[in-house]
Amino acid sequence: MQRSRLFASTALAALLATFAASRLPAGDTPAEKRDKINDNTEINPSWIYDDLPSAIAKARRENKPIFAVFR
Amino acid sequence: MARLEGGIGDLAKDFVCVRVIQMRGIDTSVFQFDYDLTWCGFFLNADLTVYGRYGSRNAGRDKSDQLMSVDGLKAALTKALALHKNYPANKATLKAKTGKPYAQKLPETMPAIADQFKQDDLPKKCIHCHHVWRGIRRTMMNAKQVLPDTLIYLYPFPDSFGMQMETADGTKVRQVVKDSIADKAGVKAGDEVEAVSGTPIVSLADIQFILQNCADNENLKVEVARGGEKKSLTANLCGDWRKSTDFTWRDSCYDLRIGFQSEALTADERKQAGLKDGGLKIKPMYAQSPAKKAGFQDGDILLSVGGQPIPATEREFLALLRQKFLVGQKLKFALHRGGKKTDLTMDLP
Repeated sequence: MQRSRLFASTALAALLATFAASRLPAGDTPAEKRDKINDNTEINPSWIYDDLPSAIAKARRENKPIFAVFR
Repeated sequence: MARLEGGIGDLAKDFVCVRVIQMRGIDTSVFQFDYDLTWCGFFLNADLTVYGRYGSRNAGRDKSDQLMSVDGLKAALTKALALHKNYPANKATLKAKTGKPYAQKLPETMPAIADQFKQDDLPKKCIHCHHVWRGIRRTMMNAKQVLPDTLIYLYPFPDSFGMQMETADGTKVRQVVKDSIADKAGVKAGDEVEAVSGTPIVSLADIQFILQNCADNENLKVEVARGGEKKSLTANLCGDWRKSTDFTWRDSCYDLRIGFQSEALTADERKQAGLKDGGLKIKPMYAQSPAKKAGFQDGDILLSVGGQPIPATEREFLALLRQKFLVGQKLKFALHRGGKKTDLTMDLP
């Protein structure tokens, strides 16, 4: 159980974008939420929120692998 | 990124990280994983070659993350990164990391759920991961097809042939069951599984993916590292190894059920029902259960369906329903209720 909690808490920390989304006004469209989160470099400078095509394009440009989290 | 604990943050810097919030628009011919997970990490190249996946689950909500660990994720990330560094030289070895496409690639086009999710009205109409299993299976069931074992006993664990893995690194063997298929293959506790059938492995989920897609009688080549040496072993899969996989904890399992969950009988209950073996007891049903509407009652003991004896486990019962009968078929159930035998009929939903 402790291990499970540790994983859950770390995974959640890794998904700061999720927390950011929950603090946004309820009326934002998904695109608005995404833009605000992507702009919020203080919270998370590198995670892309719900935009797989952008992640693929960025990975191609930077020759990096993609780490996609489904949650 | 500073808040990422346990070294994951440093590893994540070498990736392009993306958080996917739902399955609408996701190509399931690429993103194949166990859709009943609460959390899945997927590693791939920009050309959509899959490096691996992380995330395994074998229990309901209270224990949904018991097979996940920070160390396990770190190990998987590290191995995925190594695969990327060797890419494209290793491209051919990664081919089996992508499965055969389903009949429809996009979840929102799967006939059984297309109407349910036709509005792009987030968050109400989010297609959750587990809805994908519904899209695949309910579409087949509605088309009067029986479900194959691979769509019932989803994502088998290597435990099913005697190889139990570490949680801290799902590629490391924790224990081998004596006289099991893995034991006969020569697998030892402490071995690190590097590849299965020539496909490099980054996690337990990767092994599950291979098992999900292999034949029941496949001769699996298992390449392990042991004490600095590489060994190539062969696990000759045979028998009902796949059917040992429990799936009744899955959220997606509601689609196989007919409106109730069931549990094994006690010896006394079996005796009272006049059964030598098998039989199941209906657990308390929810108000709108189709089985309740058909006349089933909480605590009824199921004796047979369509002339077939009820097996002793719920998973065998659900497999029986979905592999011997078709949606819409009128099924006659024999029950034991309050000391008497009775019959009920119900159209299979």
